[in-house]
Amino acid sequence: MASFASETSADLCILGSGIAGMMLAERALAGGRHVLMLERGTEMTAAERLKQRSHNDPLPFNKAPHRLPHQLPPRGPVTRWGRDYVFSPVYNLGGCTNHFFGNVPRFHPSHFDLPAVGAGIARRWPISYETLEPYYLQAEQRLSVAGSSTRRLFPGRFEYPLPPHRLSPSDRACQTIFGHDSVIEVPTVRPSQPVGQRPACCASDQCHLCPIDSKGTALNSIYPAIRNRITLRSGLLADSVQCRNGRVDAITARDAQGRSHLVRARQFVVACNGVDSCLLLQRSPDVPKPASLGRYFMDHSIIQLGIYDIGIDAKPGYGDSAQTGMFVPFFERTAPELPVSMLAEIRSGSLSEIGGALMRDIMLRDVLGQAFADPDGAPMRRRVREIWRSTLDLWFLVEPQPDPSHTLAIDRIEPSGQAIPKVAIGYPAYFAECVERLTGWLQRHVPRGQVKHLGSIPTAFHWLGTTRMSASPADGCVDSTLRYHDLENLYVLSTSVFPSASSANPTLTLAALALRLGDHLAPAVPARH
Amino acid sequence: MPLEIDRRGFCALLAGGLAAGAGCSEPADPAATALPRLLGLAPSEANWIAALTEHEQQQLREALVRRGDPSAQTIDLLMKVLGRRERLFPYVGYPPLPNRVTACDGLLRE
Repeated sequence: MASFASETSADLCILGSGIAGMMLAERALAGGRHVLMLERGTEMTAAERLKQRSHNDPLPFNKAPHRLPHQLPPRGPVTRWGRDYVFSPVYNLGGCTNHFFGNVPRFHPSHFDLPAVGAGIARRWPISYETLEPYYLQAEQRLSVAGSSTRRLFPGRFEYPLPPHRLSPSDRACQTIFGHDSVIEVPTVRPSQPVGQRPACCASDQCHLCPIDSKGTALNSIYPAIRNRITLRSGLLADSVQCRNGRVDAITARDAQGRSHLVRARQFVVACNGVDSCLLLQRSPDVPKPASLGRYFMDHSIIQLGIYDIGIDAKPGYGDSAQTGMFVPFFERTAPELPVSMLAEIRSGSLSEIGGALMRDIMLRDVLGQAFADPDGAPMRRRVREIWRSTLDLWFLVEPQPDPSHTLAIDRIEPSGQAIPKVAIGYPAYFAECVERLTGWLQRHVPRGQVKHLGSIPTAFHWLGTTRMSASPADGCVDSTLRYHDLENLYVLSTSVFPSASSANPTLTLAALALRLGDHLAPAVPARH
Repeated sequence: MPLEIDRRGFCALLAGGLAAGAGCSEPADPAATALPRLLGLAPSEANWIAALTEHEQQQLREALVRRGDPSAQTIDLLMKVLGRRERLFPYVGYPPLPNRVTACDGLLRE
């Protein structure tokens, strides 16, 4: 009989302390639940992260990032990404919002019910936008999102609690060239004005490690409100979900010394990141394995385009936040020119430290090269200034297609207990076509300028699809309430439940799902008298 | 003891010295002086080229004199000199960054 270093029991056990786990915990607490949160990493503060200049966790089973085999871009230059797919989670308290950039647009209503592209499967969610809209509103309020409630991506209720950031000169240049409605103020948790203890965004473009703890994260926006009301067990890596008679009986977890711990609860929610949620289910022998588990792995690939000689002083690098506007003509997916949804960030990625190790400086290198090669031999400084300032830098997130051949599996289990993923994923089949059509469309609007494909990135760190939501157990892992089809008390709350990906950043949709699950699990209890 | 040398030896010594001077001494416009001029750096910016070794300075100067399509190595050298934001921004005519001593100096507000 196994012996455990500790045995704990709770009403509701949440695995993972990211934005999903935290928001669910807060909602469940409001319903009177006793919440136990299991976190594999340490309780690292923002100050400690800044001191070590990273989110790296010291525990042996939290090694990251991982460079996994991918493919070369099907079109355009090969960048320093080469053939790599970089899986870069944050393995400690607060999870991946600690290093995300903070853009939180909603999915377009039509993205919940999309037909297939090519030979892919249909991308219908078992819930609609209308179901989720109230939770979008609540999540935006809770996360103090800055955005425009009047200039909207689509008709619907928008009541952002903070005003939007002002559009930057590059945003306005886009509006001049492509039309006023081509640019919308980006909804973001980078605050446009102080929120509680958090100052307004400092516009350093170093949002992966916010220098002043301004950007809204699970750690600084939700955790302070619940820290004294939950039971947090950190430094414990869940390594098995134990089931009996169609129910989860317990979770086992190991600590850094290799000792095993047991957690019992009435209900369990797997709220790890979009990769590790799937890996935990895969590595648990007791958990039923539907055919879709680990399949349909999706991520947003990125097309980086430079537009030169636009004839407008766009001042790349100016702005009140890292990104203030998003380029939306291809978001709804109705543009006849393009087969899929694409949402673009208007930015100066060359200046970003996070584009950092692999993408930094691509545009600047190109500008310097153009100035250097000036056929008239014009003075370098003058040419660099002219070219740089009349340049736009657009990063298009490309909607991926759920493809059964794109899979996620366990490559190996390290002696520490960490599961190392193995992915089979590539650029979408239509990626090269997107680059071509997009370049052509943009070029028609800037006939005197030059649109250039600067590079492609295989990941936006959005890990989607491998425990997909479905109405029927035949084509998914969880139902519309996020309950695992074959286990009555196990829920998955992760971007891995997304049946399709839109081209919008996934965090707000995940946050909305968390609030909805909270209502499902913990209906409000009557006030005590 | 006085050095004994004949006319032929004296001429050979003189010629050798001249040849060595022509071949090994710095030209009138060394890279450290030429590079700031070729890049259009202001006097207060001239020390940016200290990011390069002497050899790299020579390489970049030669490339800048030639111009034309740059090699990847030339771009690398230019990036070393100009790539940091606190240099790029003044180089392209932006006003000074608001605060150079913190991490929050990346973008400029209007």
